[in-house]
Parts: sequence; C-alpha cells; structure tokens
Amino acid sequence: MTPGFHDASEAGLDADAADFVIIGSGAGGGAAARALAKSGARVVVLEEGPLVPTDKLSPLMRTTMATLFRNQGKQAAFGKATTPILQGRCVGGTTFVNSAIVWRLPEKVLAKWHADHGLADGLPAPALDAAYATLEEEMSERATVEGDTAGRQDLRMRDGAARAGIEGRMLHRYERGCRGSARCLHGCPNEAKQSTTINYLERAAGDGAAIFAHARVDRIVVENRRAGAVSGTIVGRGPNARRPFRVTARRAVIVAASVVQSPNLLRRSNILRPELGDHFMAHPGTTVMAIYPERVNMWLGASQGYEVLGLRDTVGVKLESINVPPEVAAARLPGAGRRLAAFIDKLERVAAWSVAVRSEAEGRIRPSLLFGDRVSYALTARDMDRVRQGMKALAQMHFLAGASEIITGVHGLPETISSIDQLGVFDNAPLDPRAYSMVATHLFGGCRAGRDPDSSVVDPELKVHGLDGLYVMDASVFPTNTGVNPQHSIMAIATVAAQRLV
Amino acid sequence: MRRMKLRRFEVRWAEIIGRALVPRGVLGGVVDDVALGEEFRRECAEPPWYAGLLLRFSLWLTWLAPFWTSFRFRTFGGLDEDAREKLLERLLEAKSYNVRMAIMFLKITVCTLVLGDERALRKLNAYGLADEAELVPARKLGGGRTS
Repeated sequence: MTPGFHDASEAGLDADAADFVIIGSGAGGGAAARALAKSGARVVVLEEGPLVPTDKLSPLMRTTMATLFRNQGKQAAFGKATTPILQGRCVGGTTFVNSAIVWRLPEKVLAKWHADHGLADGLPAPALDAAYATLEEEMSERATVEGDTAGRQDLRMRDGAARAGIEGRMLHRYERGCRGSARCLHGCPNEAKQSTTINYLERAAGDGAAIFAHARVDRIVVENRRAGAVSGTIVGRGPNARRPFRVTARRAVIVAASVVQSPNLLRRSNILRPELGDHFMAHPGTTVMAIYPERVNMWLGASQGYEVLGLRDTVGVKLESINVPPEVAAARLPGAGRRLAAFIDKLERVAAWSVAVRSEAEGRIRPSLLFGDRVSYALTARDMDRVRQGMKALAQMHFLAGASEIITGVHGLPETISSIDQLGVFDNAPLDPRAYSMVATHLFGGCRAGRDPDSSVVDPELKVHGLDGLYVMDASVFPTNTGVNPQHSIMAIATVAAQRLV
Repeated sequence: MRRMKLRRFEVRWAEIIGRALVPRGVLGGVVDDVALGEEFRRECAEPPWYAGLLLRFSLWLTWLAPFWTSFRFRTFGGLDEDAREKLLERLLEAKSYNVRMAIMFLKITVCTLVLGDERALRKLNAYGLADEAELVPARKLGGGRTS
C-alpha cells in the first residue's frame, strides 16, 4: 500500500487527533488535503469507500459499479421521473471514476456568485486563477490529440460539429501518459488519469497526511458552538469492520463528502441551518447513439475526447463524446430478443454522444430511513426543451459525420431515424422527463455558500454560519450549477478556502 | 437489511425471460454459456435492497404479463419465442412509466449480466482487450503517479 494510505478495515484507525480532519477524498477533500498538508499541518482524511489498487480494477461495469460507486451505481433522484445519480465511493471519490475533464468556472457564473451571493471576498477571481494554474500544472492538464488519445468517435464528433458550424474543441483532461484504453469510468488501469487518489492525495501523504479508507463518519461532534471532532464507524469486510472511531480536530473539520452526503451529514449531526439540503442542482443528461457504416469502436481512445461548446450560451447545453460501456450501450438499443441481438451485433459501429443540460430545476436532499439519502428533483418543461434541442443537434452532427441511422431513445418518437430530413421529430418530442433515459452526473448545492446566514449554509469563506471550526469544501457549496464540468472548479475553490486556513 | 434471495422457480424465470431479452447467439455466441438465472440471483442479493426488490418485481411483472396485458390464462413461460419477444417489446413501450421503467431496469440488468463478460469485451476489442496494438503506445514520459 502506498505510504500514508491505510485501510481502516484491515489495519484499524490509529489516528485519534489531527489539526484538520477532512471527510471525503474526492475533488474537494483531495485539494484541501494537498493545501493543508503542504503547509505542514497534521491532516487526516477519512473516506467511507475502499482503496482499490490498480491491479484490482476491472473492465466490467458490474464489478466496477459494485466496487467504486455509491449504492453500486443504483442511486437515483426521484421526481416525475427517476434519474440515476452516479457518484464515486472510493478513495478519490468521483475523480477516480470520471473523465477528469478540466474547465475553469465561467466568468459569468463567478460574477453571478459575487453579485447575488456575496462571494467576492471569499472566492476572489485572482486567487481562483492562481489555484487553477497550479492545478493545471500539478494535475497535468492536457488536450486530447488526433493520432494519439482521441478516439474515432471523438474525431467523428469534431467533423460533425465542423460541418454543422458549431464550435467545439478537443477535451482538456487531467492526464499523464494516457494510452486511450477508454477506461476512465472504471478507474484508469494505467494510472494515467490524474484522480486525487494518485495525485493530490499522494502528494498530501508525502507531506505527512494520513488517508484512511473504509472510515465512515457518522457524526460531527459540536461543543460550545465549535466542531471539535468526528465520530464514525469502520466499514468494509476486514477484522476491524464495525468498530467505532473518533478523531479530534484541533483546528477544523472539513466536510467534503459530496453534494448528497455533506448536507445529510450536517443534518444527522444536528447542525441545522436554514436551507440545508435545498437548492440541489445538476447537469442532467442523456445520450444519442448512432450507427455508422464502418467500425467506430467507441471503447478505444479517451473515454471522452471532444466537446461542443457552441450551444452552451444559446441553448444551455454542452455536448460531449462519451464511450458508453458495451453492456450499458446494449441496453439502450431498441427492442428485445432477436431484434435487439441484431442491434448488439452492430455495437462496434455505434458512437455515443451526450447532451448535458444546465438545468433550472432545483431539488432537495434529505436523509431517509429507507434509502439512506433521498434526493427529490424534477426537471422543468424548459429543461426538457433544452434536452430535446441538444438531442436534435447531436443527431444532426451524427448524420453530418456519416452516420446511417440514429437511435432516438425517446419514448413516443420513432425508435430510429435514417435521414437528416427526419430531424424534425425531435421538435415534437415530449416535454415529459419520463419519456427519456436521463442520468445526473454533475451535482451542486445543498450547503450553498452566501453572505446571508438566513439563505445559505456556509459563509463566503466556506465556514458553516454560526459555528467555529467547521467548513464545507465540495460542490455542495456551489450556489448555482456551472454549465461546465465541475471538478476543476471544486478543486480550485477547495484550494483557495484551505489555503486561507493555513 | 436482509439480502434478497430468489426462489428456485424465480431463478428459472430469470433465465427464461433473460434469454428472451438477449438470445443465445449474440456476438457470435461467445457468451452463450453464461448462467443467466444464477447471475440474476446473485445480482438480486447485492445491495441496495431496493434494487433487488425492483428486479424481483420486474420478474413477476413480466412472468405474469400475459394475464394483465391480454387477459390470457398463460404465463410468460407458456408463450412461444415470437410471442415472448413481442410481449417484451410491448412492455418496453408500455404507456405506464412504472412498467416501462421496471422492464428497462430488467433489460439493463440482463445486458450487464450477459455482455458484462470479458469474452464479450474481447470480441468487440473494447478497451483494447483483444488487440493492445490499437491503444496509444505508452509515452516515454510514462507513469502517471506523482511519486
């Protein structure tokens, strides 16, 4: 095991105190750990999920979901439709199982946060810019490249976007030495994708931080209006499983447990703030798959290699290529039995592109006796209109890139269309989210930041209003969604907030 | 929470329904020997509990579908191959969202169990498992770790 990393289930949890106790090891927790450990502070990171060695990673989604994802990938938001929510639950959090796409927070979004939520002092643009620059260097930000890491479906998307006259670019990712094995979503088998696991947490461990896997925090201990410790339970299957633990935080507890878990952890700890768990937002999305005359093999090259930006400000959607794993892609093909089998035999010729919507819908997060966490979220008609506009653009680009058949994937529409003249079907697609197969990946809110203690959970410096020694540093503090992939912004914001504590 | 345990007859139903959804011979027959019923039983026993419950519900819903869709005194097992496929297609396009969602979950699970097999991935050369030459040659600057 890498020095500084421990499996509490196997070896127990021998840390009883630290300057900073960080709950969660994903983008926020990893960045905070890096900044604090670098300053010489004693840091303990507690992660509920396992530490999975690279040689134990699997190319099978079933195994991957069972090992690396929360609720085995079967977590969902409930509203008019049921929307699966994908979150990593392992050392590295979602950074271990995402595509590590790099986007700075758009200036317009930051300006709105400053103007409407009073975050100018806490998250000033120059400090964020400095954090971005450091991250881009240390986490090794690079664009996918034709003839190198870009896959065939990425290049088709580039061609389709160019022919449609819509602006796009090769995706920028945190990677070093990518071989295009297309397994970002399974955990990179080549240790090329820069998750916090192999980068910022490892750097933090090098500076003395202790990272514990299988350490689930159940409660933040607050005494005299100060968070002074956390208590929890060791999970997993080792000899120490089910043992309780307590770690004292001499200077602060930092919650970076994710958008769903952070607000519920505060609530379970009786830290009740106005609007805690409210203002949940996301970038829900769906895919449009197309069949090409020749072999595409979307499972070679970067897991995600190209993005289309031209509709971001006008329609509110971002389009990306994505290699949906074969077993999942097969389920999205039409029909059953021999008809489905005939489609599956064409899988090598399928390309999948996704639309992610900057939705206006807001939901809420609450603990649930039955489900553990319950997320309520219902997309609006305007959101669904954006979805169908994005799907229409994807279908158009597919045809312009040479696809012979588009799989619409919408209940009530023809299963497939085979001519660009049929794109109009998307204009009449239902506005009911139950007609679509959507997934929510980028999540925001629940502990939103703001100056006003009556309408926010944390202040502009990400400290919980009215309490000392308790901070939240993950996407739950985002007052709005961002319209772009959030990992880079989460890491930058956590870096800025953590550096202030040094 | 106790793990969901399918009865033997339910495992048999899962095999029959699963093979009607994804028949043998797909991808050149490389995964024809997958014991689908047994895999389904294992999947139902995995957490979270509500996913296992939904899978079990979807099994019963499908097995009894001839009763409630066309008032025929038959089960799914009593239908011939064509009728089974037609029924599954009809359920996947059902007006009721809850029915559609339940059967879609069944379809996703069956596809994951049948095609989530390294032989299927190799057949597709997914992730370069069959032919590493299709991957980008390891760069000289190599190793991704920081230390």
